[in-house]
Amino acid sequence: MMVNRHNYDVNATPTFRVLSEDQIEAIYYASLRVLYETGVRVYDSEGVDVAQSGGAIVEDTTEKSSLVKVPHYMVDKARATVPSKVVVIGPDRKHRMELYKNQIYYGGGSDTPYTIDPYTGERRRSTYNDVKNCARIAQALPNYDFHMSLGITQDTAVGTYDRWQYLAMLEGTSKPINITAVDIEGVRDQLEMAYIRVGGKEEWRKGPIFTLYIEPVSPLSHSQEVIQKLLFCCDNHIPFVYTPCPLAGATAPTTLAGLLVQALAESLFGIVLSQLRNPGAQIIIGGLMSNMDMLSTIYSYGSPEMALLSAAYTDITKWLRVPEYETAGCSDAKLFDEQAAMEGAINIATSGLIGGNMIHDVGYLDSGLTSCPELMVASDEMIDMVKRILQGIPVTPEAMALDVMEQVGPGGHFMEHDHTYERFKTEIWRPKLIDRQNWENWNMAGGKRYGERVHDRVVEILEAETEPLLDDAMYQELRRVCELADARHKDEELDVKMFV
Amino acid sequence: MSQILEQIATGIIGGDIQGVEKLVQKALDEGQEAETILQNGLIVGMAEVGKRFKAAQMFIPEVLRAAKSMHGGQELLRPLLAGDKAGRAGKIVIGTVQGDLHDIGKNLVGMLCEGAGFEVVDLGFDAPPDKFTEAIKTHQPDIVAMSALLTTTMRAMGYTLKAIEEAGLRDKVKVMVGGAPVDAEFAERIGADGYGHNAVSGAEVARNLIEAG
Amino acid sequence: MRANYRVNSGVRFEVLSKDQLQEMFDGVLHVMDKIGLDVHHDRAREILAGAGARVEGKRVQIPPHVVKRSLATAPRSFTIYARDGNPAHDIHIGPGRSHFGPGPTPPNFIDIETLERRPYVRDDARIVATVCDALPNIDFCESLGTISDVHTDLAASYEFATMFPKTSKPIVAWSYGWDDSNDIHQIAVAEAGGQEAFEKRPNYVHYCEPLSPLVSTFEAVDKVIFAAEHGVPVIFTTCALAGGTAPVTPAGIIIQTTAESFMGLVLSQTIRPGLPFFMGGVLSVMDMSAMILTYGAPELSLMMAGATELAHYCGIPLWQTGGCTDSKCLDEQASLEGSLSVFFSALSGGDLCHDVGYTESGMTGSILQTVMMDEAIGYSRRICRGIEVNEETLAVDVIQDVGPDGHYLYHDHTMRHFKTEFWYPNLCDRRNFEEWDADGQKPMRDRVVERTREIAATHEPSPVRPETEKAIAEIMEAAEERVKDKS
Repeated sequence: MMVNRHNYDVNATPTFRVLSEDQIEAIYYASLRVLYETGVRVYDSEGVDVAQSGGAIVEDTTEKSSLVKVPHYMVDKARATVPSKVVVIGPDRKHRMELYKNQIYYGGGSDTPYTIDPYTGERRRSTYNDVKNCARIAQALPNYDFHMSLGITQDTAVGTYDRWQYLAMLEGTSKPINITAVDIEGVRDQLEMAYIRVGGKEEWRKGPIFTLYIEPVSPLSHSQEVIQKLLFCCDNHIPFVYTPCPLAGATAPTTLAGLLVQALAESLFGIVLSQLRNPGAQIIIGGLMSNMDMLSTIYSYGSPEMALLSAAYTDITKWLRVPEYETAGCSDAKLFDEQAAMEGAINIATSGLIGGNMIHDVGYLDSGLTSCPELMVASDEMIDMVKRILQGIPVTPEAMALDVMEQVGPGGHFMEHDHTYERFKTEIWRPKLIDRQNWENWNMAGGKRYGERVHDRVVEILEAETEPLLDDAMYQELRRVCELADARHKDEELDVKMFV
Repeated sequence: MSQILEQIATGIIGGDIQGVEKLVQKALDEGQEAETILQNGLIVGMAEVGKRFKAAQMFIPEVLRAAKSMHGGQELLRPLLAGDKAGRAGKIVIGTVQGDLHDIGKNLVGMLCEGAGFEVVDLGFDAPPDKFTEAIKTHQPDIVAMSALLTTTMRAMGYTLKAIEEAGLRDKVKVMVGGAPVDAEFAERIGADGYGHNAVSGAEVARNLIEAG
Repeated sequence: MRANYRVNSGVRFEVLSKDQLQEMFDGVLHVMDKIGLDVHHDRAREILAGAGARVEGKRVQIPPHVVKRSLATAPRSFTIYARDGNPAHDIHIGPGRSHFGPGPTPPNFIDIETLERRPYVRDDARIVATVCDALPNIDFCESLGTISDVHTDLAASYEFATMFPKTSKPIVAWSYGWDDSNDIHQIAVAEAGGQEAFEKRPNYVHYCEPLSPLVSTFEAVDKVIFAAEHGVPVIFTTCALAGGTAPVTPAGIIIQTTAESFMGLVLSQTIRPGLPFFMGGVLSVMDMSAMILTYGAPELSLMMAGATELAHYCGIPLWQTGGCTDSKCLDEQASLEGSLSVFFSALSGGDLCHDVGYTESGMTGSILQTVMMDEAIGYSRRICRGIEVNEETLAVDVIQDVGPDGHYLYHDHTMRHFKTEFWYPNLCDRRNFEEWDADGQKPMRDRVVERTREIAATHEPSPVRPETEKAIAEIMEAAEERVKDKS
C-alpha cells in the first residue's frame, strides 16, 4: 500500500525571489525613516489637512505646497486597513482580475504619443482608431487580462482626450481597463461612462470595471492633481494604481536598493493618505522602476535593472500584502525586432516568476513612447511559454514513470506508449507563431521571419469580423459624455491643430 | 599649447571641479590671457568631452561633472573677458511648463547648456506663461526653452508662446521646445524656433540658434 | 548594528523542493539498480563489474551504494584553466556560477559574409573560436559544426587543431573515438607542457554522448575511458526527447537522463576517483507535428532547470543547454527562444551551458546567434546578480540630501555607482527614435551581423607557444598518415 506523504515540501510551481525577508525589512525600515525624517512634498492643501489630522508633521508650507513628515505609527495603522486583495471585473462580467499575492495578470500600457502603424510599420502619432485597434487586439489575445490604451487619442480634443480614449477602449474590449485621466473632472466623466457601460453605480460596486492610474512624481513629490485623484477614488470606490516612476541615477538613487527605499516611501504615503480618507480604500502600488541609460539619457524600459527592480518591489509588496503593479513586455527597441524579443522575453519571464499582480506595459517600444501591435501579439506567445514553465515539475509516481521506463527498456522508445499518448497534448506546449518546421518546409512556405508572421497575425485580428461590444444606444450615450466634456473645455484648446 | 592649458582641458574632461578653478587661477597668475585660457583650455576640454560622449566613451554623469567644472572656470574668467557677453555663449531662460511637474529632462538640458557656456535662468517646473514673460523682461535672455512630458501639458507651450507674443516679446527671444512627446513637427506647428530631441541635442540647438542670430 | 541579517547573494530560483529532489534521486537509483542500462563495451562492463555492478549480457545494473560511492569522489568545485594562463579565461566550477558556450556538431553553418546556410568547413572553426574568444559573456568554446572539407575521420581532430590556437578560453572537445581523442589530447598537452602539467591545470573538457533510453554506446564509453585514463574532465550527456526517447513527463525524463549520465559517472570515478565530471543533457520535447527535438521549447528551460537542481543535489556540476532555437534564420523567434533558455539557465546556475548558437533545431550552427545571445547572457547575468542591500546602497542619507523635487544627477553617490549598478548593452539600441532613424533604422539583426564581422576581422586571440604550433602540425600530419588508406 502506498500511504500518503507527510512532512514533505512540494514546489507546485517554480519559486523565485530577489530579496530575502531581512533585506525587505531593511528597505522597509529605511523607507519609514525617509517618510519621517525627509518627508514628502504635497501640493494639495486638502491632502495636507488629511495627513495632518492623521498625525503627520507639516512643515515648510509655501503658497503651493507643504513638507509632510509621516511618523511610523501612521504607516502601521494604514497597513491594518489597506486591502490585501483587489478585484476588477470587465464589463462583460467574465474577464476578471483577483489581485493578491502571487496572482499574475498581463496587460498593456497607457498613453504613448506614437504607435507603429499595423499596416505600414511606420511610427506616427496615435489616433482614436489606433486606440480602438489595440483594444481589439487585446480582446483577441488569450494572455491579455486587462487593458491600457497603448496610445493617446491625438485626433480628438487634447484637454479631454481621456474620455475619448476610454470610449475607444470600450469599443474594442470587454476586459478590465486601467484608465488615465487628465484631471479630477476626467475621472468623474469616465466613472459616469463606466456606470453607463456596466449598468449603474450599484453594479459598479459589485465589481469595478476600471482602475485609475495615478502617478506621483519622484523624488517624493505629490501634486495637487495626484492627491485630488487619490481622494476622489477613495470617496467613490474606485480602485487605483498609485505608481511613481523613479529613475535610478536621475530622480532616485543610483543604487537599486536606494531606489526601492524611495519608491516605497512614495507608495506608503499613498497608502497612508488613502486609508486616512477611507479605511479599506483599494490601492495597488508599484510601478515602473528603472535606470536612466547613462549614454543615451533615456528612461530605459528594456533594461535588466527594470525587470530586477520590478521583481524586487513585488517581493516587498508581497511582504506588505498589498497588490502590485508590475512591468513587462516592453522594450527600448524602435520596432519589433530581436531586441524587443530579447528584452520582452526576459522581463515577461521575470515578472511571471515573481508573481507580480498587474503586469503592465506589454506592447511598449522606444522607452515608453511608442505602442506596437506586433509586440502585443508576440508577447502573448511569450507569456504563454512562461506560463508553461510556471507549471513546474510535478513529482508523482505517474510523472516519474519508473514503470514506463522499465516497460520500454534500454534502446526502446516511448512514442506509442499509453503514458505518452495520454499526456502529450497537455505536457507539450504548442506554439502559435513560432515555427518548428525543418529548413526545407520553412523555405518552401516562403521563409518568413517570425516578425512577418506576427505582422500577418496582427492584420488577421484587425480584419476579423467581430460583434460590436456596445450597442448603438449605449455608444451614443457614452459619446455624449465625451462631447459634453469637449464643449465645456473648447476654449482651452490651441488655435493650431497640435498633432494630426 | 602651454602645459597649464592642457592641464585645464584634462581637468574638464575628468570633471575635476575644484582642480579646474585652481588651474584657471594659476594660469591667470602666470599671466595668461583670459581669452586664451577660455579658448585653448576650457573649450578644448569641453569639445573633447562632447566627442567622447558621442563615441560612448563617457557617460552623462561624467559629462555633467565636466560641464560644472567648465562653468566654474568660466565664472572666474568672466570679469576679465571683453565684449558684451563676456565670454558667454548667451543667456537662456528655461522651465517646465504649467501643469507639468516632470523636470528631470529640463534639468539635464539646463546643465548641458551651462557646460556649453550659457548663463541659465531656471524657472523650475509648473511654470505658468506669465512667469516666462516676467523672466524675459527681467533677464533679457537670448533663448527661452520649454519642456513638457505630457501631451496635455504640451498645450501650455502654446499658451506660453502666445503670452510671449501678446507681451510684445516674441522678436526679442528665440524659443525652443523639448520633451519626450514633443517632436519637430509640433514645434513647427506652434511656431517655436527650435526643437531638441534629447538633452544633448537641446544644448546643440541652443548654440545653433545663437549662431543663426 | 544589525544582527541575524541574512541576505540573498543574487536572486533565488528553485523549481524543486529538497523532498522532491530526494524522491527523484531515489528514482534514479531505482532505474540504475532495477532496470539497468545496456553498455556496449566489453572492457567497460568488466570495470563496472569490478566496481560492484551486476552484469548480465550487455545489461549492467548498478546498486545504490556503488552510485553513491562515485558521487562521493566526484568534485563539485574545480577549475578548468585557460591555456595561456590568463586568469580571466579560467572557468571556476562551483555553486552559484553559470558559464556559457556554443555546442558541437551541426552539419550546417550560416556563412557570416553571405549569410547563407551551407555545410560547415574548417575555416568556420577558426571564426567560431576567434569570436568566442572575444565575446565578454562566452566562457568556453565549441565548434558549432562538423567540418565537412577534411577526411571524415579527422573532422574532430582538425576542429580542435583549428580552434585551439584561436582561443584561450577552455574548449569542450568532441571526437569520434580513441584515436582522434588522442590527437586532441596531445595538442592540449603540448601547450600545457606535458601530461603532468596538464593534470595540474587541465585546459579542455571532453564531451561524450550516450543514447536514450538507457544505452551506453561503445564510442561514448570508450571516450570516457580515454578521458579518465588521461585526467581529462569529462561530460557524459544524453540528448533525450520527452515523448520520443524518454517519458513525456518532466520528472520522468530528468530521472532517465540522470541515470544515463550516472553510468559515465560510475565508470569515470572507478577508473580515476576525483576526476571532474559533468552530468548532462539536452532535455526537450518532441514536437508532435514537426517530429523534431525542439531547441526552443519552454519545456527545455523547465527540464534543464530541474536537471540542474538534481545534479547539484547530488553534488556534481551540470552540462546545461540554452541560447538555442528552432528558427531557421536570425530573427525575433531566435532571439526570444534563445533569451528565455539562457535566462533560465543562468537562473538555475547550470555550470556549463552549451548550444548557444544552435539554430534550426540543432541542424545549423550560427555564430551570429552566439553573438546575439552574448547580449542575452549579459542581460540575464545582471538580473541574477540581484540587489545589494546595505547602508551605502539603501542611500537614506542621499535621499535626505536630495529631498523632494530634487535630482541625483550631480550627486557623488551617483558617480560612485552608475558604472557598476547598471548594465550597458552592446547590441540593444537605447538611442531615441531620431538618432536611430538617422542611423538607418537598423533592426538588431543587422547590428549582430556587423558586430560579428568586426570581431572576426579584428580580434587577435593570444597565440599558442611556438612549440605547440609545431606539435599541432606534427600531430595532424601523423593523423593524416593514420587515415590515408581509409575511405
